[in-house]
Amino acid sequence: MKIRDIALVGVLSATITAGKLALSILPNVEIVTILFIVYTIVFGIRKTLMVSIVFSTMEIFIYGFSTWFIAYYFIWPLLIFLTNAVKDKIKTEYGFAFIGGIFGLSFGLFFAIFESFFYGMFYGISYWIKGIPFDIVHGVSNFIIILILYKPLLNVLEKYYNRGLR
Amino acid sequence: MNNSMKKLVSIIIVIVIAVLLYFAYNNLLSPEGIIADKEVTIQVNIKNIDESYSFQTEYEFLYELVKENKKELGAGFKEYSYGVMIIELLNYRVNESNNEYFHIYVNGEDAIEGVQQIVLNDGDVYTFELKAW
Repeated sequence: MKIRDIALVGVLSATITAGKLALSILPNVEIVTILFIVYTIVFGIRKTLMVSIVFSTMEIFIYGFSTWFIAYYFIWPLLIFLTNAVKDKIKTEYGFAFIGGIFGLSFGLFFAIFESFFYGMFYGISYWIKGIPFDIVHGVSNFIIILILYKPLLNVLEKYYNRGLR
Repeated sequence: MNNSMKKLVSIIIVIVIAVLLYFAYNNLLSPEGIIADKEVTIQVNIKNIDESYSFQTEYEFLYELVKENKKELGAGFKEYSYGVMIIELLNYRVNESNNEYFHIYVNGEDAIEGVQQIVLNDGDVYTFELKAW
């Protein structure tokens, strides 16, 4: 890995962390999903996976360790692998908006499955049910954000990446 | 239909679906209390102080009961984006810089919901214990 790539991973991780913090006053409205999708398409799966590891680790430094942060090390790579698998098949922003929407809707379910390993199935089920309104907000906001920002973000990043960063 | 209009229509459709999902959740899955006369106990443990209170109530949720008896319990609340938290009991306000909070037990078991979602059941004991995370 080149020094330039290491710096790039650092900068991309910082943008995701800052983006998440900037929107943290709005529960479950985030730009992390769209950034991971776009970064996977522009910078490739390898670099974006590294970004996800740095981002998840930064979350622990910011908020302190908790069991649900472990899930972060799985859920974001899952989105990255999924994006990488479908990126050549999906031609418009609608496909990615749909993926982001479903991802947001199932976010709580994924965490509930993970939490139930630690605290039992009953806890997992109640955790998921209690969080459904937040998952709905997450899914809808992901859909809208990706639908509106996907193309402009992709165009800007591809332009600069092709110009000199590659 | 141009692209912007298509996006706008898609967004409106998704918002309508979300509202319907939320409506379905509220009617089918969200915790539901029973409006009936119940006798419940609220215990407060703050450091070396243990207080116990019995209430006859028709309220459905613990938050409503604590709010109604705010003066007697010396209670104070703080609203966060994810809901209301009790930050003061027996006129003792949690020291947030020391990571203090009131842990809630229902019949001795850790509560798995917030104070606004905990349903009041006849004979139940709700314990607030000062803890630090």
